[in-house]
This record gives sequence, structure tokens and C-alpha cells, in this order.
Amino acid sequence: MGRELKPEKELWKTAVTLQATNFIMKTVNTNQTGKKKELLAGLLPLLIFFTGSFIFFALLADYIGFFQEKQSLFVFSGDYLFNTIRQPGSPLVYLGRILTTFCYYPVAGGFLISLIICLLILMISKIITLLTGRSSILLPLIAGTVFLILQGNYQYLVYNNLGILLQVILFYVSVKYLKGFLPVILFPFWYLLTGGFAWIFALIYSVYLIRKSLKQEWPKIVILFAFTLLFIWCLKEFFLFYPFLSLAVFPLSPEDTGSQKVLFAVAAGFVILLPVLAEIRIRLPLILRRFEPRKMIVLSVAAVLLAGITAVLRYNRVYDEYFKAEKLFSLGKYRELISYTDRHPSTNRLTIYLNNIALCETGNLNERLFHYTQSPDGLSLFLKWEMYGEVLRRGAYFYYTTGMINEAERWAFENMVMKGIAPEDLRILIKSEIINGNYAVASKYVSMLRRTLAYRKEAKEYALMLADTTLIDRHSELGTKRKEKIGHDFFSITDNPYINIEMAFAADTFNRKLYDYRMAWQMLTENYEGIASGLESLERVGYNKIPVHIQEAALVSRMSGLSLSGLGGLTIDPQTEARFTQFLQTFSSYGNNLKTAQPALKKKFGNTFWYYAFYH
Amino acid sequence: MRSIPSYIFALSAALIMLYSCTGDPGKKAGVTDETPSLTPDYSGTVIPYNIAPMNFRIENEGSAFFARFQSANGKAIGVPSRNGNIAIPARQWKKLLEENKGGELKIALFARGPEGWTEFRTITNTIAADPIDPYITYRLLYPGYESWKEIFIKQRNLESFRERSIIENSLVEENCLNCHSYNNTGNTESFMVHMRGSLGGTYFYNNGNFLKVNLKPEELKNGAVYPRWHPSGKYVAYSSNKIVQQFHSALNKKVEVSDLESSLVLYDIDKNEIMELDLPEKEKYMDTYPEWSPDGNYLYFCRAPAVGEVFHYDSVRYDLYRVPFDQETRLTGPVELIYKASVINKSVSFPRVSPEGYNIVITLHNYGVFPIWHKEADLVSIDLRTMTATNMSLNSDFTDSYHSWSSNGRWLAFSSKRIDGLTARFFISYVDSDGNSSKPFIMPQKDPEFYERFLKSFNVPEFSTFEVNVNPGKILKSARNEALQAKWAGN
Repeated sequence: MGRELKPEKELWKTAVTLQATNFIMKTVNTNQTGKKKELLAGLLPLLIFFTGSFIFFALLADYIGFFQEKQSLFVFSGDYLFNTIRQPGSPLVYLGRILTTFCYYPVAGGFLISLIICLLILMISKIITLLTGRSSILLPLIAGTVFLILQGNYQYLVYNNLGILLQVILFYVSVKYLKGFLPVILFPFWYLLTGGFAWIFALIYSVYLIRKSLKQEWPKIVILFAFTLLFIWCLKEFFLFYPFLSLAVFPLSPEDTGSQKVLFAVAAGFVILLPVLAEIRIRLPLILRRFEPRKMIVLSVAAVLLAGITAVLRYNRVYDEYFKAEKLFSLGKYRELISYTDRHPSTNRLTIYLNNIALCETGNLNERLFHYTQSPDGLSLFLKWEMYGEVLRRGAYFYYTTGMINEAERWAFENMVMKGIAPEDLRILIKSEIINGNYAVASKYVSMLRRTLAYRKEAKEYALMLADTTLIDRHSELGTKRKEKIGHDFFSITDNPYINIEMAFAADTFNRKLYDYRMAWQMLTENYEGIASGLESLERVGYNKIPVHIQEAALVSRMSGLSLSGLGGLTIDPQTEARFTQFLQTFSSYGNNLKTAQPALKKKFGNTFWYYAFYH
Repeated sequence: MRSIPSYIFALSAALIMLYSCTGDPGKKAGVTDETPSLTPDYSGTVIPYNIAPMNFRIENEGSAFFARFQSANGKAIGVPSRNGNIAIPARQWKKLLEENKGGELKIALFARGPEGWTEFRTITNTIAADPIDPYITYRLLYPGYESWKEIFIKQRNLESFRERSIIENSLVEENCLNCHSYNNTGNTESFMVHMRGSLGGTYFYNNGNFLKVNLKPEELKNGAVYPRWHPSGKYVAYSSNKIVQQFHSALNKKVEVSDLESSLVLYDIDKNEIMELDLPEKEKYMDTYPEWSPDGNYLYFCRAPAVGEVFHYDSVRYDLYRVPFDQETRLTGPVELIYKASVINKSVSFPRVSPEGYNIVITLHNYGVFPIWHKEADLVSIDLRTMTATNMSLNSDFTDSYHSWSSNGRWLAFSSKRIDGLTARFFISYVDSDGNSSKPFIMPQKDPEFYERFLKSFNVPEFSTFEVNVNPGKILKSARNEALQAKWAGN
């Protein structure tokens, strides 16, 4: 019997097993679906926040990535690595520069910057879950918003948020996986990697240990700080010799955080106090908590609002317009730059400075100079030497355009010495050395440019020219610049660019770009004698038609009793004469009152030399 | 699934293949009369037996390369390479050179092409029996104009590739560092260096400590600049200069440094006194670049007529003079003209007397006092016994300038811009007892491509026989102290 019953028992067992399996499978499926929903509920606001941040950094405020990418040239080479990693914290700077080099492409830059911020949000959320056992997204989103605000300052370098992210990750790993004294032992090495940012980890971990049990954990806190301070002291005394404070805080600096001291302190403080703040429960109304989809919607709306409002508040139109102009300039798109400045009129001196160079390069400086707000001190024409600000980085362009190649090279070189290698400096140096025929030096710079992400193609073009130097004279830009290079030597006067123009033009009297700038300066300074005497060079530099502004200035010169005999065979356009008459009549119709006549004159003649002369 | 032995087999096969790619060409190689192209060029030169491995890159075409270093004595060194970079094993190199002092070093180079290995014409170098001073100290900075950020004073062991910082300006508020000078030109570890800026002063290093001194009492019109330490160690002669730096707008030489005023001063270290050297009619001249004879009884210097407020920078030319110097009384005697460069429209700078005292090497250039940016600057040796000047064969078409003698007087290190026209590199040349120089070689680096990438200049080379026992942090403590004010002393 027993033997006969056995198959039945087996069948029964099988049936029970199958049923149990089905039940388990169903339960698992239900749990998985629930987890997926939960995961989605947690991630959706984050994804929305990411999208908002990405749109901001990649499209709206791409100038942030542009500025940072132009600050320093990342070179994929052992030398660059060796030169960058020289003290604790410099590996973080190196990593930040790798990411920043991708900012050449706004989409990639926006993606990476947003990814760092969203990873911060995610890690803060995970830490809260780890410490309290419950999920949290609203508090991390608020924290993320602070990091978004910080990053919205174009001078806040990428490595700052990256540095904080790394501390948050280490804290999470330490609490979850590293037991005993391991985090304390590892900390000095962590300090070597992330420098001053490591103190954020030290503090957050200390707060965590205090909350856990000060009585039991105090040795870890004491050893963590004492051991690290001793470690830094040893570095200072025996290995690196930098001042203690510099070693302890690098790479934290007000300059590289965009001078946002308070906001940065708030963000760092938030992270440090996370073990305490994690206990704060932001309770949504019951009705929302009961219905998961509503909660998800509210959090998503919160993410949209936080990212959106921040984006709107942090967007700076002036910076955006300036850096867009600089980007077009950097790409050599002079006509597009002029067109952009027409569409986005600016009073920014640097924008006008770049635009004036674009006008000169396209032969329109004295046709359109007064269409833009010029600086009467000449600083929209050329920049004055300044060692520490942003001027040095851009001053070379004017000299490059006017054929004063040595001086252009000097400005770029000095900037490289003072601030490290930046892409635009290196390009000027390469072009200058090629124009000057110093091919060995140019090759050295080109080999560096070849090891970059965004400038490899350009470097190849230079390398081709260096391999076959006959290509240089045929090159649209370098060939022209070589012809326009001044031949007469004099000592450049750093503090007075105009004197350099005068000295250069005194010998290179056929250089049209020098002439244009010379006349532009005479007009800006209303030097009518200079304007009248400059007319005689018009034909020599190749003009067969007088540029409009020079015509306008010539008419005023004539009115002042100066002779226009220098015009030679060139004549002033009757239309300009007629407009000048209209200008004077309009002025007269307002009783020769400058103030009351201004609106009318601005409307009709706002882009003329006459208006500038009246109202600058 | 693959077993572990199969991986070992695959790895072994790969290693064998790799070796076969770069291995010794043996006797199968064909022979060509072509001279191999090396970077740096280490061919046909005289090398010291204690120099670090002279690694180089073979520039000729090839899919694999091989170098064999051979001398009369000892075992040959074979170095295979896949990319042409020849990295010589240091121990074998040292042994080979030491065993063949005064002999020849033959370098056979091979390249593998589509038709197999080819051997180039053998390079022959001479291994001098005279050692080079094992250390050289120099300043490392961008070959720039007027700004600076990173300046290092480093000491390099020429017998290896070890290089260490003595001073880094990043540790001293990025002040400018310049003009280091050794006591007794490298036979002691005492040296001095100027620092300009917030921590400015002249720092004397002696017995493990720096002493910060202000060498400019009120009575001294211009600061102390170019130094030269008296062989007795008791004095340092300086030029006291008013310098102007200008920038050429079109010439390929970028910077012009000129003196508006200059005179010679003497600092008595023990007495902490600084005094003007009372040279006859000194107000009519600009005197600069002091240099002592090895016995300390003569002071050499460069002299040009004083310039007025307006002058043509390219018409100022310096001649070489000397005065006898009484080491007890600190008094000088009558001025003696040694070399009148101005008659051939040339100008003299950086006089350096050989340790034997027989000849003096100067930098000769077209005009002015600062030849660093003068492409035409060359080294000229003047035999002090016959007073004949000879343009040295070590010169190039580019700037060959600041130079330094080794303590045995057989090696001359100098800065040269011959590689690219911009960055200064150190070249070393053997100078025989008759003053003849050999083809110079560039200071060896571990990476043969180093000089092609490195943007900074090496300048002011000074040989030394000691490794200076100072770390870069040491100066910081002294820098924060008040400077010891040097007292003004009459003659």
C-alpha cells in the first residue's frame, strides 16, 4: 500500500509546491512592481530636476561652461598630469578640469554639470534613507537647488560640486560598508585626493559619530582630526613645504567659488549637518501621502519649480550675451558676431572691444563704429595692460588684428605665465610663432594642442602648415596676417596702446587696419586736426570710398575751419552732407539745446559720429 | 572554458612575439652609410665618464630599433626599442664609461624596415678621463617677459636624473628669485640668492641656515644685482644697476634689457658692510658683471661709457676690464683693459675665468648688456697669457650665453637657445688645456623627448661639487624675519 500511495503523495506534494511557487512568484511580481513604482516615484522628480538643470546649463546658460573651459586648457598628457598634481587636492582639480574640457560642447558640459548636481541629490537621499530608514526626496531636492544656485555663477568651477559629491559618496560608503576605524585610517589618503574638501567628510562623519554615541566614538573623532593634522604638518615640514593653511584648504578658494562665501558655507553646512537634518521630516498633507501618484506629482512639480525658478534667477543676460559674443569671436565668426551684437545691443566694454575687432577684420570699423556704444577713453578699442584681471587674457586680440604680432604674443605669453595655459592663449602663441617664422617653438605648442579634446582638428591644420611651410602664405588667416605684420621695430609702450598704433603706422603707412584704428581713436577723442591730417592716408591704405564715420568727422573738421585737402581724389558723399545738414537743423529746431534735442537726434542720428561727439 | 595554463601559454607567446619585434638584430643586419639622426644629438662629442645615461630617440624610419654601446673594455650594452626611444640601463652605462675613461664609446644603431634590419654608420664619442662636477644648480622659469608665477631654483645630479628643488617661489609668496651664486664656485655648499617682492632681500645660505640681508643702505643708489663670490668666501662683488626692460614690436628678439646706470659694489660678509668699489673715473662709466680671478687678486668686469637720458640702446657696447684687488684692505688698483670688444662693434658680458686662471670665457654680442635675447650671442675664449680671443667652436646660430666652469676647468656648461630659438637649454662642452672646446651635448634627461615638450627655460647654470643640503621650505622661515641691514662703508 505504502508503495501504491507514494505516487499520490508525490502528486500532492508537487501540487502544493506548484501552488506555493505561483504564490511566491505573484508576490515577487507584485513586490517588484511596487518597488519599480517606488523607484520611479523617487526618480521622477530627480529626472525632472536633471532636465531643468540640463536645459539651463546646456542651452540657457551655456556661457558658464564656455567660460570655465576657456580658463584652462586640459592636455591629455603625463606632463600635464604631473604638473597639475602637486599638492593635496590637486587630483580633484585635475578631475574637474577633465570634466570642464567637455564644456567645449554645451550639451556634454550641461549633461556633466547637471549629473554632478543630481548625483548629489541622489546621494543625499540615499544617506537619509540609510540613516533614518525612510525615503526622502524633497530635502535632497532643496539641497540640490543650493548646488544649482552655486553652479549658476560662472566663476564657480566645476570641481567644487564634484568635491562635495565625493565627500557625500565617501560618507555613504563609510557608514554602509566601512567598519571600525577604517574610514579614519583612510582619511589622510582621501585628503590627498580631495584636499580641503575632505574636511567636509571629516565633519559630517564626526557629526554622525556624535549622534551615534559620543561616549563610544570620540576616539575616532579625535584620531581623525589629530592624525590628519599631523599628516599635513609632516607634508609641510618634510615634503611639500607649503604653508600649513594653504595645504589644509587647497583647492577651496573664494576666487574659484565665484566669491559665494555665504552660499557655499550654507551648502557645505547642510552636508555636514546631514546626520542631524536627516531627522527632519517634511510631511506632505495626508491626502497626498495616501495616494502615491499625487505625491509623485507634487514632488515633480516641486522639482520643476526649484530647477525652473533657480534657472530664471541665476540666468544673467549680460554674461550670456558677452560670452556668446566671445564665443563667436573665438571661432573667428566675425560677421555673425557683428550681427549678434546688432540683435543684442550691449554697453559692455569687452563686448564692444571684441565687436570693434570684428568690424576691423571685416573692413567696417569706421563704417559702423558708432552704431555701438563706444568708450571715450578708448577702452572699447584697445585694453590697457593689467596683470591680474581678465584684461590680459583678451588684450592680445587687438594687437593681433593690427599686425603687431610680437605684442600680441607677449600679452598671451604673460597671461600663460600668470594663469596657466588657456586655449585662446595657446592659439595666439601658435599663430604668432608661425607668422614670425619660429616654427620649432610653434611645433612645441601645436603638439600640446594636439593632445586636447576640442582643439585637435585645429592643431592638425597647424601641424600640416609646419610640415609644409609654403601652406602658411596661402592660409586665409595666417597668410594675411603675415602680410599685415608690422615690419618697423620700436619698443612697445605697454600702458598706451595708441602710441603703439602711432609708432607702427608711422612706418607701415599702408597698413589699413592700423589706419582704421588710428582714425577710430582720433574720432573717439575728437581730435579734429588728427582726423583732417589722417584723410590724406585714405587712398594710400586702399580706400576708394571714404568710410561713413570718417566722412562725418571730416565734415565737423571742415566746420571747425580745417582743410579737407587731404582727401585728394576722394569725395564726401552728398547724402552724408545732406544728413549733416539735417542733423544741424534738428539740433537748431530744439533751440540748440543739447538736452531737449537728444531724443530726436538719437532717433535719427544715434549711430553717427555727430551724435557721439555731442553726447558721449 | 580556458584553463590557467592556456593563459600562461598565450602570455608567453605574446612576450616572445614582443621580444621578437624589438630584439637584437644580431649579425643579420644590412649596412648603410647613412648617419643616424638622433634627438638629442649625442654624436661626435666628448662626454664625462660620470655623466648620467644619455638617452636619445632615433629619428630614422623603422618598425623596431636597436642600439649597441660598446667600448674597448667591458661588456657591450644592447638596448632594444619599439618607438626609437633608447633608454640606457644606468648601472651598465656607468660601468662601461668608468672602465673606458679616455677611450671611445661606439654606438651602433639599427632600424628594422620592411626588408629587415639595417645598421647605420657607427657613432663614436670620446669618454673624457676628467670628471664633470656632479651637480649643477639652475633657475627654471618661463622664458617670458616681465611677469612670473613659478620660479624654481633646482639642483640636478648630473650622474643621475635626480633633480630637487632648493627654493620654490610658490612657497615664498611668489616672489621673484634670481641670480644665485656659490661661494668658491661650487666647492662649498654656501650660496646666495636674491628675492624680489614682499619678502625681498638677499639670502645667504651657510651651515644649514639662511640669513636674510638688505644689501641696500640709503647711501647706495641702486640695488645689488649680479653677484660673484670672492674665492676666499669673505666678499661678494655685485653690480649695482638701474635696469630698464623694453619689448621689441617687430624684431624676433623680443626683449631688450639695458642698464641706465651701473657700478660695482663689494659686500664684506663678516663685517656686514657694503661699499662702492672706488674705481678711477667710475662716474664716466657703467660697470657690471663682476668676476674674480681664481686667486682672488683680480676683479674682472664689463664697462661701457655712461649713457645719458636719451641714448640708442643698440649703440651701447661693453669692454672687458680688470683691476687688482687687495684682499686685506679691500682696495682696488689701476684699471686694465683686457678686451676691447667695442672696436669690432661688439659688447661683452658674463666674464668667467677658468679655475686654472689661463683663460676667460665671455659672451660676445652686438650691443648692450643682456645677451639672453640676442640671437647672435656667442661664447668667446680669451687666453689670458697671450690675450688672444677665439670664437669657441661650441657656438650655434642661436643665443649661446650664460656659462659656468666645472671645478677642474675641463667642462663648460652654458645656456643655449639652439633647439628652438626661445627656450634656453644647458649644453656641456669639454674644454682642453689649450682652450679648445668639443661639440657640446645637451644635459641628458631620462625621457629623450623631454626638451621637445618642456616650455620652461633653464638658466644661470652653476656647477657644484656638493649636493646642497637645503629643502625649499627652509627659506620660508628666514623670509619672514626682518632683514639684516648691511652697513654702508667708505673705502
